[in-house]
Amino acid sequence: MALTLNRPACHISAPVIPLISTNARKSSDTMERAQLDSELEDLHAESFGWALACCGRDREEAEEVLQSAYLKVFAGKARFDGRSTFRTWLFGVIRLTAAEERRRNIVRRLRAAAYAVIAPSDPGPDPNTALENAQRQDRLLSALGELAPRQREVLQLVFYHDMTIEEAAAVMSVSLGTARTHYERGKARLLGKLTGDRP
Amino acid sequence: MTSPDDRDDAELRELFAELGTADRAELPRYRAVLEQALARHRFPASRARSLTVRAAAAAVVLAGSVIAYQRLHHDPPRHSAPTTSSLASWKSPTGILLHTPGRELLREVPDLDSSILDRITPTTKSEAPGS
Repeated sequence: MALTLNRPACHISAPVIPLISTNARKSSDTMERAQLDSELEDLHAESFGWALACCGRDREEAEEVLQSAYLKVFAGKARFDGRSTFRTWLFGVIRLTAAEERRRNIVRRLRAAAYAVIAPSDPGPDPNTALENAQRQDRLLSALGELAPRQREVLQLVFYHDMTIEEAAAVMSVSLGTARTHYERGKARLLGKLTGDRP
Repeated sequence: MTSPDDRDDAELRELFAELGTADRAELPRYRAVLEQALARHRFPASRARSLTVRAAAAAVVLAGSVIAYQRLHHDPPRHSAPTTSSLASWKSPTGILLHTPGRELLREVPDLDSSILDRITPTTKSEAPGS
């Protein structure tokens, strides 16, 4: 088996996994479905953040990309071969899926039911802090939006997902040198824009 | 002592961490995403599109059949005859404006041997030779 998991596989309580087509057996060579499910669930929040970044912060599109990426994983269309960490590999799958979705630009609106959204458990910061945070986020997103896509990607992977530049390079399917160049230039431009925008 | 580069990195990490917190606030449930993915897998968009195309094609064929049936089962001469007659008897709605007062005086040659009173009472003229 190519992947060594750090923890034992969780029991799958939901009946969704057995409903996946028999092609899922192909991926069981490298990783058990239960383990896959557990890994995907653990990385779900991060995957969503990365999908958002890959979809220009469009929430609906990000969800569709995640759905497609999970399907690929379970159906064995995307197979983890253990050459990188599972997270790096999954992020690569999400990135490619987002690119495919953009190319095809097919709107899928056949949703049987509205998604349940986890509400924030805590009441949140006071209005002044929330406003300040929102303004800071707007500034960050605006500055990120002015960067080249590769620069944006590498910065997101390094600063949002705490990846090394090497891991980011693997996700982006570029060489380490290229990723480092994008990182340096992107960071300089981002800081310049943030400092320039600062009131 | 931290270098400016480290401070910049720390600042960026903090900003991205705030963004991550905001993203997690609207995070869809993993199971919900997976169930939607499976629903799509069972009833993919391509199949929905295919059904839509088939339904549209069926509607076009049905409309064509109805039109063809109506044309086949309609009597063309009966349809054209009223059109001809109606064209012949057609009158302009503004034709009445051409009927100006005294128009008949211009259309007739004046009769110099008769009085204008004969026109008003034509019976007197016609009765005269006989009387």
